[in-house]
Formats: sequence, C-alpha cells, structure tokens
Amino acid sequence: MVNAKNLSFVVGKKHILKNVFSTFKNGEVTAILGPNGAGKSTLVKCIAGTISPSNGAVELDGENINTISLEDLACRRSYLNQQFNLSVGYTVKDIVSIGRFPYYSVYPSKKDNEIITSAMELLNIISLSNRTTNTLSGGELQRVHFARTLAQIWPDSKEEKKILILDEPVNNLDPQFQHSILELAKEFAMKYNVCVIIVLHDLNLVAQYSDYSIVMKHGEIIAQGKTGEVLTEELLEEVYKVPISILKNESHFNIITGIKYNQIKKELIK
Amino acid sequence: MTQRVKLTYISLFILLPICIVLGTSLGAFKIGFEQCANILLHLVGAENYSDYTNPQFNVLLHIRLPRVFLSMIIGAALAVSGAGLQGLFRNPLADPGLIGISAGAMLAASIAIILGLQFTNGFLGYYSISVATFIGAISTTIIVFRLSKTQNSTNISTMLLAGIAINALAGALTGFIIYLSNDDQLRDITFWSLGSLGGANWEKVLALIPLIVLPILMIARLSKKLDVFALGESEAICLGVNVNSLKRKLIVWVTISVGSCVAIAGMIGFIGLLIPHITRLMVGPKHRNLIWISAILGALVLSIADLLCRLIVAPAELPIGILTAILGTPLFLILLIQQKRKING
Repeated sequence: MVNAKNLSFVVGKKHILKNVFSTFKNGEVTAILGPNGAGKSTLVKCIAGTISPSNGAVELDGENINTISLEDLACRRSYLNQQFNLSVGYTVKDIVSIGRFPYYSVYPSKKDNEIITSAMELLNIISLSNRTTNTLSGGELQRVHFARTLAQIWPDSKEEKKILILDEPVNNLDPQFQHSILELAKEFAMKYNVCVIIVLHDLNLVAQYSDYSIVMKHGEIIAQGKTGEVLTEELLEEVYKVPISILKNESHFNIITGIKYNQIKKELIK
Repeated sequence: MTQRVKLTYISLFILLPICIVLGTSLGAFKIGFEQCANILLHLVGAENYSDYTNPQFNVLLHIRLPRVFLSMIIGAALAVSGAGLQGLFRNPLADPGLIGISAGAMLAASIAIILGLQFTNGFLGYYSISVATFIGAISTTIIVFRLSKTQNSTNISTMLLAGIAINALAGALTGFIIYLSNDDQLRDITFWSLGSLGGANWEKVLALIPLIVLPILMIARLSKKLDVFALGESEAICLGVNVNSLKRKLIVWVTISVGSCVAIAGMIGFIGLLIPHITRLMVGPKHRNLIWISAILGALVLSIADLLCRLIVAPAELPIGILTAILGTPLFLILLIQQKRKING
C-alpha cells in the first residue's frame, strides 16, 4: 500500500502539486486522470521516488520512502516513464534483462532468465528479441519497456506487495495492445496483489480497467473514490471543459467525449 | 558471451604479443625478429636463447620495451576513460576533453614551460611539467564538477556546458601564455600539445601502472550500472542505481587515469573518442565488453601508432597525436560506412 501524505511540489513560485493526500491499495488498479498540466506525472514521480516532494511524504507499507535503500526500493516498485531514451544498439532482450538488474550481480540467474522470457512472452515481443531498439516502432518500444517494468517487480507470491507505476502506458499503442496491456496490469493487481497506479487520458479505459480513480486539476486532487462512483458527467465536464456523456449499466461503463448522448440520438433519428 | 565477442577477444589477444614483438623489434636501431624473440624469451626465464648482442639487449630492455608498455597502458586508459564518459553522457561524441581535463593540462603545462620549471634542480625540475599537468587536469575537472552540482545532484547537461565554458577559458589563457612565450618555449608547448612517448622508462611505467590499472578496474566495475544508466536517469534511479555516486566515481577515476596519462605523454587525442566507438560497432553497447575490449584495442592502436611514429621519419620521430588522428579517422570512417550499409540493408 502506498500513502501520499500532504504532498506538495513547487518549482519557483508555481505549485505543481498542492497538498495531495491519497492511498493506493494492493490488489487494486488506481487511475490518475486530469487535463494536461494537472500534476499527474509529478505525483507518480514523487510516488516512484525519482523526485523528492517539496513538502509531505510518501510511505510504502508504513515506511517513509526516503528511509528505504534504492536497491530495496527497486525490488519493490517499478515505474514506466512517459518517454524513453533510445539506448541505441541495445537489443530488446538487453532492455528487458535490465529490469532484473536489482536482483543479480554479474549475470542474470536461471530464474531471472525465466522471468525475462515470461515477460517478453506476455508482451508478445519474443520475435523481436535480437532487434536493436532503434529499429523498433514507437508501439513496439512501449511494449519492450512495459516488459522490462513487469520483469522488475515480477512477483513470487501475493505476500510481496509490489507496486507497479505506469505513466501513460498506452500512448503509442493500437487498441489491441492498449487493452492487452491494461488487462495485464489488472491481472497483476488481482492475481498477484500488486498495487497498480496508472496515469491515463482515455476515460473509457479508466472506466473499464480501474477500481479507484483520482481526478486532478491545477496540482490538486478534486475528487477520488471508486471509479463507478467518482466519474460523473458533471465532474468530468468541469475538469475537461467539453460535453461528456456517460452510458452505464451493470455490464457496460462507456464515456463519450465531445458530444452529449441526447444530441447523438437526435442526429441518428434525423 | 556471444560468438562475435569471443572471436573479438581471441583476435585481440593474438594481436597483443605480435604488437609487442613488432614494437620492440622495429626502429632506427635494428633488432631482428629472431633476436627480439630470443631476448623476450630470455627475459621471461627461458634458457638457451642467447643469440643477440649486448646493445640489442639493452635497447630492447631499457628503451623499447618500456615504451611499448607505456604506449599500451596509456592507450588502454584513454580508451576506457572515453568509454566510461560516453556512457555517462549517453553520447558517443563524449571524450575526456569534454570535462576540461585536456584544456586544464595544456594550460598548466604551458605555464610550467614558460616559467622554465623543467630547468630547476631536483625532483620537481625533472618531473615539473608532469606534476603541473596532473594538477592542472584535476583542478579544471573539479571546477567543472562543482559548477554542475545543484543541491544534492550533479546535472549532466550542466556539466557538459560547464566543460565547454572552462575549455574555452583555459584555451584563451593558454593562447595568452603562448603569446608571451619566446620561440623555444613556443616550440616546447607545441610539441607537448602533440603528445610524445619519447623518454619512456621503467620508472614512468611503474609509476603509471597503479594510476591506470586501478581506475580501469573501477570503471569496469561500473559497467552494469552504466548499462542501466543508458535507459535514462530516472529509470536508473528506479532500478536502484545511485546516480550521483555513479557520476562522482566515474569522473574521479577518469580524471586520475587521464590526468596521469597526459602528465606523462602530453596530449594524445582521438583514442578516447574513437576506440570506444569502434568497439561499440564491433561488439555492441553493453559496457562489460565495451570497456574491456576498448582497453585492449586502445593498447594495440596506441602501440602501433607509436611504432609508426618511430619508423616514418626515422631516426627522428613524429608526434604521436598526429598519428593517432591519421590512423584512427579512416578506420573509424570505414566502420561507420559498413555499419550504415548494414542498417540500410
């Protein structure tokens, strides 16, 4: 479980994050959403420990993140950044293997190699193993780094309470891989009790895959709670300043942006 | 280890003794390959190999052999330092000159030459330029490193810019000193800046070994972390790498090893830039192989360059900096074109 306690992040005089309180539970997928510049990526960077908040603290299972060694932290949480360095010349297998870096000293063990192969199989990138990263498409590179991120926190048991942080993980992907990556994240949360934190822009994907949602604007959390309860037309229209319709029943939860449902119906009848 | 990497190691290890024999045998004073082999075998303890003359033995043992070793350890140190810095800056164009080592060394050497420190008595007189150069190299790197520190971390792009600024300032000051110098001093400064392995002796080799072998070992120990660092700084932090410690350690070891090389041999360009690049084209970017193969290749290339320096205008000598550029650049361009063809199919 991750606790964000009164997090603030200030650059010059600008508050990128302002008094953020939240709890991210194991076994759940928590989506962070909001317009560009809302402070979503800064929040996940603070949670991942790649930047230190100006104020407040991040706790992992009750321990302050600053008191955990970098090596120990690397075995407990992994973080997929929005952008990747090209790492010219490294092969796909090299990149995924780097995910096991915190676990081996010179060469990966047999277990590490099994995990590397499993992660590559899950992301359907085995056939790309020996390709160098500069020959991959944006979507392929995204899958390679996702496999690396999974390999880093590959859980042995439910008791391990690992954390998977993904910052816009489906940006370059086609719909098939968007769904398969989010299904994998959901599976890791449910099957292995992983705490999954995802920054997402696609409201339908949020509705479909997240258990809990945090809505941000101007560096503050303006609403948080169970996804089905917190995402309302009024709130989303206020946040995104566009017409939004929510179509929801027991089996479906769809969000249409840019147009109201009644208008679509009228146009269809015409 | 892939087949390609294994083959590269084997070929380089075969070439290494060949280079030693060539380097000790060829030169203005002729020593035949057979005599050369006899002397070398005698030196390693084999008996019944005495078909050589005393002058041949002395030239080989006291002049040629230390020179070959000196060129090899300096070549290895410059190449490994270049490989480490290219990993740190995540830029294949980085070389030890980028963090101010060469410019600081050049400025200090120029000051020492126009002050005539080499003509003073005692230890400092004989080694004054080396000591001044070492201090100059280390001082400028410390300034660049301090300028790039923000709160608790070191910013790599600021380090790059600070390096450029300090290089420009040191260059201008060196220019001013050259303006003040007389003809003899100008000649000394120019030749120092072109590098030379002349005057190599066992004393210099033994003094350099700890200052070079230790940094090479320590930089090689960082190879796994440099691979992670290639993904980016925040990725490296997430994967458990203490990036500030990595940057600090690498800069310290590179400065010690390159500072020592420059102090003994003057400015030798291109090795630190080209050898890691060539090695990367041969065996890929993973630092474990990159660093060790760069070390062997750097040793080979610099010893061959030094041999050519002694042969081309024998009995005089060409400055080695000229040869490293002439030898390295076409080789680099051939590999680059080959690589480009491979990518384009």
